[in-house]
Amino acid sequence: MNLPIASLNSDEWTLVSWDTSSFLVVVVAALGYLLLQSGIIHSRGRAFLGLILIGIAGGIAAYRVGAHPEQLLFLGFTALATAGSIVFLVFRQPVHCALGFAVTVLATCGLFFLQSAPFLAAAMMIVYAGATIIIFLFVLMFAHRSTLANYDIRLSSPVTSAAVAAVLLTILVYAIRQPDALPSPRPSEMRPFSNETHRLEPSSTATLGRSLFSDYLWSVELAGTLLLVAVIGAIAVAQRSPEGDA
Amino acid sequence: MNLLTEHILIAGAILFCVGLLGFLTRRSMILMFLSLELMLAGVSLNFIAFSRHHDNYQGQVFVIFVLTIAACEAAIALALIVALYRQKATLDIRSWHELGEVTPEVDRIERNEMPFEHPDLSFPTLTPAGLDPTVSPAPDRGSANGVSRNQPATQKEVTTHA
Repeated sequence: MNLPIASLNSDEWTLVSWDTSSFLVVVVAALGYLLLQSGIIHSRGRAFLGLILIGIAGGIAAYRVGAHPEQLLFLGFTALATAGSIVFLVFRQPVHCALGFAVTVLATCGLFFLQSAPFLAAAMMIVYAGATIIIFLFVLMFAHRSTLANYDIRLSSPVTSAAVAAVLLTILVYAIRQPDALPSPRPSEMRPFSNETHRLEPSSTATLGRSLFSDYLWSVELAGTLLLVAVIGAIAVAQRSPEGDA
Repeated sequence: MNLLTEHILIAGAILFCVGLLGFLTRRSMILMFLSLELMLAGVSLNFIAFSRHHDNYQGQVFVIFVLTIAACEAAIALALIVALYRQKATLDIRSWHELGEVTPEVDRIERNEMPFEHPDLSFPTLTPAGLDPTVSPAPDRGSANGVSRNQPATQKEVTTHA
């Protein structure tokens, strides 16, 4: 029983060093975001500096995760998702933001594939990418102008928001990296159809469907009702009133 | 070495914080809505990671419901954005800061925002009072009430009094 204690101690050491470095990564990335979002409007040098800072943060994070061959796909998809979300955050043209969002969602679907959830990856692609295209059309319809609108150029309090997001991300990473943060894997006895013994079979989508329509049948009915109510509500809200004054 | 659950959780946390940052900084209503979808994607990633961690399908089923709620939210939010855009022809969220009163002109000029034209926002102007000197004959005694708005007339009056 000495071995777990010793490894716990070494884990604590790595925990402390990891947390300081993760804090540094978050702060450097937040500074890079601030420089990039103002530099993309004002000066090109500031934007380059911000990009370099974000690259440094990503490099440190990738170094901490390690470059095992199994994790290269994970690192690649995470980097793609982060790059798409940075495009979504700093670019001012709404069309570019929508494209960055689409890249982020597709990279997230790749992460779903890595977690052996192929059906959800496909569903997320369909729903989110479809919704993105619809919103994209709305953006084109609404903001169809040659010059950028004022509310797209001026962000609202980026420094405070970046500080809030950095603090939240640091706390989340700290909480996730705690040694007893993750519970031990346990099977669920209450949901018999949701237990899965052959995860990597190709027919796992069938098992997912069996779980959905047996263990969660009432929830499915409730979600269907909610969809119906949402459709009716959307039509009622978006309808022009008969007087014409909306 | 297998892919750890922690890594996926951290990726989900990054997505969630990016969505939060976008929601706080963006001012266009559509982009704020997209930020919300990004936060939902981060949460879905967490559910998937825990589904694999516990080796059952509850997390994936939960993600299906998250997708359902996201679709409902998309429908309602786009309908609301359309309804709001019809009232004031802008997507700026700051034009809806004050829900009760109509924003005064001075505040919007101070905030350097583009003024918008709306028929409800036409302030009443004073109707011109007094006698029209070109239509009605001027009163005999050049009292100051009738011609006070006319600058040369008052000048002449002052000179005659002097």
